[in-house]
Amino acid sequence: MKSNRLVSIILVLFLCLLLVACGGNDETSGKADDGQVTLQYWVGWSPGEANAKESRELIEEYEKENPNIKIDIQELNYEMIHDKLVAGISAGEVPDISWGLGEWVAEFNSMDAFMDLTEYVNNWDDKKNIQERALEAVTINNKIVGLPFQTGARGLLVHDDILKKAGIETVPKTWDELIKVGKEYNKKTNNYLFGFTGTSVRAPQEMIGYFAQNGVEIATEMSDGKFKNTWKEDTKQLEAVANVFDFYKDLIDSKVVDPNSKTWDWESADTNFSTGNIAMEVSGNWMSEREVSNPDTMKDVSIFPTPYGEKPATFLEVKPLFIFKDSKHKEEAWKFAQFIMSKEFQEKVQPSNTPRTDVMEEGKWGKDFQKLVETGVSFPPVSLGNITTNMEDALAKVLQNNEDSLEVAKWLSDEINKSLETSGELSNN
Amino acid sequence: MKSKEKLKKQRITRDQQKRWTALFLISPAVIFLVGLIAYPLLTVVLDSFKHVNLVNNSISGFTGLENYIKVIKNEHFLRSLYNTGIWTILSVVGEYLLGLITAIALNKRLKGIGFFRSLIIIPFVVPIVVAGLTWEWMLSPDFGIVNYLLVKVGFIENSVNWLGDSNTALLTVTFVNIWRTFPYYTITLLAALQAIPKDIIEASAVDGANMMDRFFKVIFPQLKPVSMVLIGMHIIWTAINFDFIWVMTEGGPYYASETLPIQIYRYAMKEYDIGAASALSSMMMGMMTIGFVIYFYIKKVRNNKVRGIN
Repeated sequence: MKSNRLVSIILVLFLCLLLVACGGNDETSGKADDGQVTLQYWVGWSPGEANAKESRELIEEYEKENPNIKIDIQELNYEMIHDKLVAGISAGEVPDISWGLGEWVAEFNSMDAFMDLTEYVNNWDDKKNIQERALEAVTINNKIVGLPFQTGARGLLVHDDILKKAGIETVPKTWDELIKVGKEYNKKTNNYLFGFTGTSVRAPQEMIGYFAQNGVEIATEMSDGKFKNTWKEDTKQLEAVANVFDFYKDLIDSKVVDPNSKTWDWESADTNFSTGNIAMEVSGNWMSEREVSNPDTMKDVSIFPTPYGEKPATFLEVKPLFIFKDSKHKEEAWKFAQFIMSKEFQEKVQPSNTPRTDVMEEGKWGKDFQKLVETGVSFPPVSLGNITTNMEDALAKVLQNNEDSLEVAKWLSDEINKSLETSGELSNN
Repeated sequence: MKSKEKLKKQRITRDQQKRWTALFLISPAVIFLVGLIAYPLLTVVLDSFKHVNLVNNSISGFTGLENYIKVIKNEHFLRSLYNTGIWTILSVVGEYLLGLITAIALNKRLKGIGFFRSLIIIPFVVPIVVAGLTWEWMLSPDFGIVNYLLVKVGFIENSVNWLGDSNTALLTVTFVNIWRTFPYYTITLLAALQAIPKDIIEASAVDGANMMDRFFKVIFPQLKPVSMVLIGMHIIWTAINFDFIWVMTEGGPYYASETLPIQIYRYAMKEYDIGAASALSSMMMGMMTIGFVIYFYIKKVRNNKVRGIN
């Protein structure tokens, strides 16, 4: 009897120990053991991509040169990174350093997630070699909250051979020209000239470029430092926005784009272009990787400025590297971040979308895209989670529900201001 | 007499001892359940009555029923509720019917039947994300094999944007869900079929029952207990399912395939409104609980009737 009781007690204690052991988490800010530091690094590259392989090799060399630092890489897609960071920041369990998207800067900053890098960057020798506009994109109220490790403007990618075959010689520069050429192309070939994304993260990015071409912003900074959507206070702005929605409608009604574009995500758009189903799309220089997967259909691609409404403008994407306030190894994380931003790393891994002014890839994927940065616009520094959803919904209302463009513009203005109010960023001016 | 009283005392003490030992042994599981289920559940219910916003710390405090009103007033709430009902009912009915048909087909003594029984499990072991992404590409109007074959065979004239059309998106995702989940029903119902004594079926055949009578009057009643458990479990699993719909349509196009779990995700991860997300989660939990309480009450009343208990 006594031995049975002893066995029961030992069993229970063992089970309790198991439960406690299960509570440990390996994914968050790394461990330090006898001076050995492990940095948790979350990345959004696709395993097997050229830049992933090159990055790993360089990181291995970094570890050899810094034997007390080990880099634990976790490969995730951007959606997973975002959701894990939201949960992790709330729970106080974050990686040391992570990739991110420009759209997340303001909202994670509102969650007080970031290490203040202002002093570090100001004392950094390489600061002068980083594009000023890229650094601005990671600065909120004069506080630098990340490092811009990838930048890229969007350009018009064109299949030269497809256009030549259809007897079309001019690449459209404006919306009107695009519709004219598109109609001609459809008449001659029964195919669609152009493609846009109606859904996914890219749809709001394309829209913001078109809004900028018509001289409107989704949120304007007011004198109190907060933001507001001012379309409904100015009829011209409202009409400019409605004009953008009408442009989308015209592209479909004039058979310039496939009607399925209404629900294309970025992958559908890029695949339709890289396989030659469409002759043009607005995209970025990551499409250089499609030259490897689709060598036959991608060999004739040229880069041009995005067709514009009233004035040239395009979306400028700045992807930040985040170092978190709750990281237990901030100094080591900063040192590693400097390595990622170094000339050596950027030249080998991403010469075509580097934020460094002293690194430039010759050829269309580097130089031709670099020329477009001048007209690039980024999202305003506000919490964008709900705003980008509102923008996608507005496009769906116009294209799928056939609602009136002006009414949708008014609706979107109201929704943007509601979102700003919820996040505490709405100006009272 | 004294020894009898002593024995009675010992018997009570031994029973109590057993009870305490049992409690002691299950205490790790109880701690686990309280820590991982009860505590988060309670937190969600409490958060549903508070302002909790991840990007705006100035919003806080008790809100009463404000979050619940906000959720119900959302222009997409009723549609999500309706979609959840359609998605759950059609999925469970489709899975059950297909599972039953295949279980009956596999319950034959034929050469090589073992091979087909192992094949049938394949859809179920494919991870949801892999299945969702693969079907998404197969159903693509531009590159998909499904449209290509349907046009070739002449069922349709032009490619259909199955996941991009608000009329077909939810039904398409439901179809894929049925494809993926019916093997679970097949295996469970097959086991139940094999457990039915052969002599009952033979006796009914001898008594003149035809195939349909044998199935509906002899075999099917034997499957009822297993079927009720299967259906009950899957109603819950399907109603709360998030991954399939998110992977294939993200609730689109324009909320056409949005269900309540997708809406909860949007509140939490897009709007960072944890209060509203908690309110909708609590409402969903409440609805499911009420549904099951009613079901078990009706079952109990029926069982009592059968046993002649009032």
